[in-house]
Amino acid sequence: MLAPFAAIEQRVNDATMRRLSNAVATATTKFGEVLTLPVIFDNGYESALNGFAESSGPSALAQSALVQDLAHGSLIEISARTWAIVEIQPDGTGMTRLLLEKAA
Amino acid sequence: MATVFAQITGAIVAALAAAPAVSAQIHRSRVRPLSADWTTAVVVTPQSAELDRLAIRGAPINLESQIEVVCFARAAPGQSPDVAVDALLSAVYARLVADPTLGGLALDLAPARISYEFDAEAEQVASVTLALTVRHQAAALTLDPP
Repeated sequence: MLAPFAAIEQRVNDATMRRLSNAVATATTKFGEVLTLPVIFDNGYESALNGFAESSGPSALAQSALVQDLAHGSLIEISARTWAIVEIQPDGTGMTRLLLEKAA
Repeated sequence: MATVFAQITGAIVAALAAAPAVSAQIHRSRVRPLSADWTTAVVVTPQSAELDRLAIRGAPINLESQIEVVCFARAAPGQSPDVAVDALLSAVYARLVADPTLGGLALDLAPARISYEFDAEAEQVASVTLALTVRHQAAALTLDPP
């Protein structure tokens, strides 16, 4: 049984993904299993090299429990585009941001 | 008349753009970000110049101008960014040292320093700054070529 605040965190995270997820991702775990999971995908403008070049900063926010078997280099398909996971950033409250790079 | 600095910068751009151009994107003193659609680009920017204070009055003065040529490349998936920019750097270097007088405009052009910078967002990118020292002259009391 979850501690009271942990249970609140879990409910908030569940509600967040239920209401705010904007894509369904398909990812391959480090064990070769294929996962389908809701994510909040973001790919807004980012500059590279201190403003020298345009780029974007793709990331996918997901519930940590769903992405614990993903690793650096795992492939994740979102909206018909394949990305490679290059950073895994758990926030400590049950959500994890996956930073992505173009993989194809 | 354009100053000798502008003419030298233009001559470097022209050398890099001569067919076959080293990149489809060659820019001069560009201050806006390079487009996300461009996989390679070159930016030529004048930096500074030292004037020879020992010039004889009325004679052309000697100058050493510093000009930076930045080679930029986006890496393909799985490619290291230093590898992505390598062919462009090689082509730029070869093109510039092939005519160190820039068609007679300069006394000498010498690569002085090469520095790398990397970053990663949606893809990995590299820029290599090729710092050039250009020795040239200007006519007395002007910044025109002698």
